[in-house]
Amino acid sequence: MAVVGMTGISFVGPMEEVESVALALLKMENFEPMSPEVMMDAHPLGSRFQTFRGNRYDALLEKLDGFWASAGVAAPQCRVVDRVPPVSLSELEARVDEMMKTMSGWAARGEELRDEYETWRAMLEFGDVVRETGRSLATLALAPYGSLSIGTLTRENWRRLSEASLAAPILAMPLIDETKDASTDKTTVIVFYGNDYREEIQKIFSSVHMHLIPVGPEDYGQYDNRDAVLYRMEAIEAEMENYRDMPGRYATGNRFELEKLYEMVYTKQRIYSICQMRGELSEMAVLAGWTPRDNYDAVRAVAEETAPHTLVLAESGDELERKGHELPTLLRNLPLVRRFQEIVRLYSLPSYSELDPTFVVATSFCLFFGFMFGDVGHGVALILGTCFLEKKKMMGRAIASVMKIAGISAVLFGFLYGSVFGSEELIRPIWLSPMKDVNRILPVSIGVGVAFLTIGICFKIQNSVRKREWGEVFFSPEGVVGLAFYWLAVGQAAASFAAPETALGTGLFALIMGALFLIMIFGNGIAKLLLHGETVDEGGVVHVFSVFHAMLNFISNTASFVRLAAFALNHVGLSGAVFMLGQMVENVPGGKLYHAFVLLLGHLVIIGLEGMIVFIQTLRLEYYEFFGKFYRGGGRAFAPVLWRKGRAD
Amino acid sequence: MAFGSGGARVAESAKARIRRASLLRNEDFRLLLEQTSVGDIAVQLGKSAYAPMLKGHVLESMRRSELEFLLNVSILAEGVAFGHYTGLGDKRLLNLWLENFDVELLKNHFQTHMKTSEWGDHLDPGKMLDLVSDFRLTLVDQEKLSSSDTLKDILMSVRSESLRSAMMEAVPGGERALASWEGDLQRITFALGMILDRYYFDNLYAAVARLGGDEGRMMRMLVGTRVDLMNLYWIYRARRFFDKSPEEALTLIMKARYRLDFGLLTRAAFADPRAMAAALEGTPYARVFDARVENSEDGSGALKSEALKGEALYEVGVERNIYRFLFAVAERVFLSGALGFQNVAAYLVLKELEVRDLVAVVEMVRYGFDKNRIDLILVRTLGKEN
Repeated sequence: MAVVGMTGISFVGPMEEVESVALALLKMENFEPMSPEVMMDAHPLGSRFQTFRGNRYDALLEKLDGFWASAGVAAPQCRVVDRVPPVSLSELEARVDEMMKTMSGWAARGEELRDEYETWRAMLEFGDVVRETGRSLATLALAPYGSLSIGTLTRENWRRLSEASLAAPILAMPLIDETKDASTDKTTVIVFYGNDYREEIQKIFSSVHMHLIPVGPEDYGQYDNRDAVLYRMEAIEAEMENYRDMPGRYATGNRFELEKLYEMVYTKQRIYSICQMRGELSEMAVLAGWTPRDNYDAVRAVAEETAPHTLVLAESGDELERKGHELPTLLRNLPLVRRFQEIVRLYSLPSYSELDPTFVVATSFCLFFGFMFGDVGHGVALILGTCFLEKKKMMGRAIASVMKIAGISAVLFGFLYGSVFGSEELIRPIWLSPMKDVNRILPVSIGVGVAFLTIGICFKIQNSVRKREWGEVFFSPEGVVGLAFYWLAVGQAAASFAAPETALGTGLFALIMGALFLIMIFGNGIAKLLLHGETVDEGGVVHVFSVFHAMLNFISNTASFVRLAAFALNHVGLSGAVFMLGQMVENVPGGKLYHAFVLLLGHLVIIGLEGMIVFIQTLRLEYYEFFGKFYRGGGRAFAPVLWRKGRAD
Repeated sequence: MAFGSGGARVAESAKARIRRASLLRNEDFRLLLEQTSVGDIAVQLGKSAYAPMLKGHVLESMRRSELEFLLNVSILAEGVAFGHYTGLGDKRLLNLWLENFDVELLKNHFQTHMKTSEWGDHLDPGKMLDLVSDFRLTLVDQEKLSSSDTLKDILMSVRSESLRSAMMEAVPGGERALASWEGDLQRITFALGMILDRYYFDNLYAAVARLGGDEGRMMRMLVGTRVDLMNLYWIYRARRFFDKSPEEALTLIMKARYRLDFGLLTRAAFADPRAMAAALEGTPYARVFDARVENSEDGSGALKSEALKGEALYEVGVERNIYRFLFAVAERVFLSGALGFQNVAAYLVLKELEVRDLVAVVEMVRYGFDKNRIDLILVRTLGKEN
């Protein structure tokens, strides 16, 4: 139920042993690598280690993943291995490169075939156009005055060529209009020009990166026979298909070797994901990282077993934090409470030294939501709706869990209020009816607010104690004096309403309040005097204003909790309005149907719209009223390297 | 306009104006010119608005390339910082604007792999992203780019399919060429760079062309002027240095146009490159190519010393005139007083030009050039000290 304490660990030993340690840590899935400089800065060897960043196995694995993708087969699921594969990076690189060379050979041949296919296709289109004029392609070769070129280029370059053609003695037009085909960005064009412009046009083609179809006028004749052209295109297509299937056939024929290679590369890639920030000194390596404090003994035992020549250095997270290092945050809570970590994370993860507010958030969230949305029927509908949305993957698991718990809370409060789908006639309220007991529900909501704000101030005091900021602990508005001021004001107000005879006399009350106020105003000076120079705030005018601001916040934050009662009333009122609307349409023809329709629609609106508003109001009370008192956040989540790539890192 | 976006406009415009006030003054430049080493310049800049970027470095012994790198990254850092003030729509514009750095990173990647240049004067992606941790590459996949070995790997890191396909088309030799570093690498690097530049400016101009009101008008002026000038400059360079024909030069330009239509661009392309000013007569850009007037020692247009008649100086003059034109446009945007993203964009232009001037000063000091000629190079006009 807190931020888990961390330990910084360094392993210094021979490279092969450090690899074994990394594999063992990978299996534990509880180790986040960090730069060895963090822990070795004071060590005599610290400055002599050469540190590394990055993982050279990433590129290898990416190539292999690419291979499996092009083969149309899912990459193998690698199981955790017991020992580090006895193979070096250069050996693996050589094997993968050899495979890739074969692949790129197929790709190049495929590309040649594609070019050839494009040529035949362009000539087919060109031939069709020429044939429509009653001539043959062979006759064009005899034209003495001009030349033509056919080529492909991107649409953007086609635009540039066509614009340039306005200023040049050429005629350019698209031959195959592919503008409607979203899968390709290419356009095949034909360009006519005079023979004396031949040299210049070649430069323009090069400038617009036009891929020329290598068919000269002397070859036009071979494209005159349309059937022969079509036959050739079919043959090329079949060969292209063959080359496309090559990787798949290769993968099937060599599956065992390929899977073994993939497993080795995968294992090494994962090991070096842990070792990615290692330091090296000749044959020695240093690997450093964070692990939860309670995992340290297990890590040490594993290291002693797998790496007898490796030195294990450890330093507590608190000590490293005091030295100014940023530690990762890992929250550990009870299973049900854990669901509410998402609510905390949505605001900001607590920093390592902060209190984890998840438990209070979980309980208060249920309390507030149920208080404002207490209804057995609507609560059940909310749970069912959430289950449906979760199943349809329209709502994330974490938020769905929170919504379901909120729904249960709404059901429980529904019994307390005696409310089912807004009707207060069906069951007897165990506690009160919001509409009938307004005078009771209002003070309760304010009371909840006072208690909640008090917890917030106590958390602030505890955070300050942890940081040994004693000035803040005692003299700030969110410290002991501020809390006393707040409670005195609340107590006096409550006594004045409930039992005036127990209230303090006006003079005495004003005197104590004034004294506490002055302590807060002069908190800086008092802290300087009593705590050897420590101050509570920025000092001077800013401090005075911040005290006034905190006083106003006490009032506004407390008043803000009136919304608990207001929304409970609103819920009953809205349900009543739906019933009234239903009754109004009952007397028209087909009224029963309309009545049912209005009730269904009305309750859906209540569950959807009001449910969402109440959810937002609950978050507001948590984030603004509660977190505003003590919470800073800004923590970085603990991200251990896991065996399954992409799960966390 | 929603209240929220109105607030964001006020905030981003106010920040841009405040940042503009932190730009270096002429006195600062004069002081920098008095320094005798790159380290001294770095120390002086460490006392200015560049302090956050230079913090943690040993300024006294800083090398030229390192200082120039940090100055360039400071533009990005400032641009990214505006992201905290802009609304959603303007954030998209800002990201689009900053894609310039993606383009530079990609170009540098090509140059490094093709050995046509080394890191140093350019932007080192790893270091740059370390310094500006909030910056996210949008044009390319950073992970894929950093693990790329072949030209194909680099191109596959480009997110836009149309851009990728255009770039692949510029590599002759298909799959084999993409899998190796062979062929006319200089030519391929140049072609890929041009495609990237065209893509960046075409996209940016298309985005600002959709904006309405004062903001749209000024953004079009800011981006459009640059597009026009770049189109002209590309034609000029293609004709003058790469021996391209007018038609070929016209295939190099962007599709985006602001004040220049294809007819005017054709006129410029068919003119003698040294007479482009005459071809552009009647347009605001004519003066840009009349570097002779700007370079004259007394402003009369007469070139007295032989050195000033050098071709190189003419080129420097044209380039400087282009940047002075952009400077004037950015200043005009600020003078209008209207709220909107144009203030951010104008500030980033001014910042970029200031960094350009600073790099010129650093090089002048580093290589011992004649400081009296600084006005011929700088975008800002230092003039005579009072």
